[in-house]
Amino acid sequence: MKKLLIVLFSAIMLAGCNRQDVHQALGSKRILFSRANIVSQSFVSSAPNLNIVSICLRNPDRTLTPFEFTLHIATSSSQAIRTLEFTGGNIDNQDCTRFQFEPIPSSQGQLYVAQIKPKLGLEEDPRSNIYLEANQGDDYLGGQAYTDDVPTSYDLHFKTSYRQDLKTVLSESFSNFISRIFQDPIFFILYAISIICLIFLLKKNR
Amino acid sequence: MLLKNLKAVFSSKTFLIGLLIRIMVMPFTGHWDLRGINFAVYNLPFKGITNVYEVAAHEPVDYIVNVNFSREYFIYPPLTYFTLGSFMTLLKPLYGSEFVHWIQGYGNDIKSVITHPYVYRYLFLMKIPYLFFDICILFLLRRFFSKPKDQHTAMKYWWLNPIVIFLPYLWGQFDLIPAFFVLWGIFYANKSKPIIGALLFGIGAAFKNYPLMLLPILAVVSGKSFKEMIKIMLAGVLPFILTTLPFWGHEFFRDTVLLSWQSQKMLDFMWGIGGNDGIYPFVIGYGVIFLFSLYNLKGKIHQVSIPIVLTLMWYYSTTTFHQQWFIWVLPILVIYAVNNQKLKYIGLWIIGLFFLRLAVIQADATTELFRWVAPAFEDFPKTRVIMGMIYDINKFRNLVNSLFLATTLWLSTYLISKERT
Repeated sequence: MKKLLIVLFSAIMLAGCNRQDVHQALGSKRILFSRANIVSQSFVSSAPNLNIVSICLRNPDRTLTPFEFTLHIATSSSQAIRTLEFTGGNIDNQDCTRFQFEPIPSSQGQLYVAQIKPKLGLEEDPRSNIYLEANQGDDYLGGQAYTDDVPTSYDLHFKTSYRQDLKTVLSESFSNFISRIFQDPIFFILYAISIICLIFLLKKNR
Repeated sequence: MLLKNLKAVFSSKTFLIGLLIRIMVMPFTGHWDLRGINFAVYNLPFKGITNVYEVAAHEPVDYIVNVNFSREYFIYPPLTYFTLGSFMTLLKPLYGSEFVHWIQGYGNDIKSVITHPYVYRYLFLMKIPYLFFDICILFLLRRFFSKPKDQHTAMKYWWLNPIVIFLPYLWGQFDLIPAFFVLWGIFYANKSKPIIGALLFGIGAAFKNYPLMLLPILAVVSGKSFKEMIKIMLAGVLPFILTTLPFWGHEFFRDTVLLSWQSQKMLDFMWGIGGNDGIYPFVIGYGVIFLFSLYNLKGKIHQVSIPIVLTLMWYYSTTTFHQQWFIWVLPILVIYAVNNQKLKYIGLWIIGLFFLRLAVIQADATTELFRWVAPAFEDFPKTRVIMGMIYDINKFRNLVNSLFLATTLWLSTYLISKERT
């Protein structure tokens, strides 16, 4: 039983957590694939082990148009370091569509370009009404959206995540929590006094 | 007498335990709703602005507020703004000047908002008004009973109720403010003072519109003649009109408060009857309750809470309601549970159903509430996703909704049959 608990505890500690990194969650614009062949977004990963790019695609007609997701370093002209193929059937119309791949250990501080491209030409596949959500303006300062490799004035509705093992998640969260308590000592001294007083009154009331 | 009563409550073990739980959770949890509401409220104490709808319509919106609510971050009548704003004015020295930067946000740097050094202080202070009205409900509930034993049971059922602790203190919603005024209105109606009751319903409606839907029921049950019914209706509508009138000319106010989509959610559910026509199940039920009140409860002013419970429970069963709205009915259910010990089992059932619904339907109100303790909570799988791994989430949601309706039907039948005996 004891061994089983140790194995279970170790497994939980080794298990990881996908932590959110970069995000741009606004969506006032639509980029239709019937008007653009390649749509991409540049971003800087602020953590190692980048493993998910979520992009908000919408496929109202649920067509099975084949697509390719690629992740490039620095510019879209460089060779893809991660590639995933998908169809319109994989598009999540409620949430963003997750493109999950093998974590990139050296991703911290690196500029990436995530790109989505239909696999067939417009003549072969009319692409229906499939579009990407985007937002006009510079809410996300670390990068921008491109249509057919031309920079635009908006950002895609997207987010990225990185893999972190549970042990790091717990230790990081705990140390961060404790340090924040010490950053507002006046509040926490008064708070602790009120808790102690209440416990004292409760004990007295027994 | 008053001092004795205060001492009896404040020194009781139940009160101290409940207060301890509340204070322990207050600084550490909260939904984005709490910050969204206070993004509007801070304009009164920190900028001296009295027309918050002008701000919501035209002024820049913080990134997080924009993502979660767009410009509709303040869709409540003005009394909400002035009441919460008054509390914030009183507590302004404790907030400090840094609060303005925090509430205005740091662009899309969400982490800086979540991990701000003073965030626990802000979360605590923003919930102080709820504590005030929570204690008011507690004292009011005790006044519904004459026996000390019943008063204490009511206190336990309210003050230690997990829903009452969850909604204002873990989530950060203010719905217990209108719930307090409606309960106070029922109290006066029971004392054969329906005009004061209606005025209090109207004050409740000046925080959230729903008491307006209960007003016709109060009027038909307690009005002895048609003229008196009209008087009660007018008395109820008056506080709402007086407090909102200065803003009627504002387009944003009209669109988002008076005619908001949220206040018409009960019309989302419709049964088609052929052609392009349909009927609304909520309105059918409401009509039946209204007529039942008119023909069966007329003059039985001490039973006015029955059709109010029926209306609210029917509303929850036929509408994709926001979970925080459930606190509207809760004080009245507490009274029933105290009066009839048999109902405590249905009380436990309702609490279970509430949290089950929260886990499978309500968005962003479970682990996400703890994001302030550690941002990692934001990244944990949503309860809906986890529940979806066990069973088809859509069927799960429908099952929970069906159980809510079943509970309403049973409770309605039970209360009506009790009323007859």
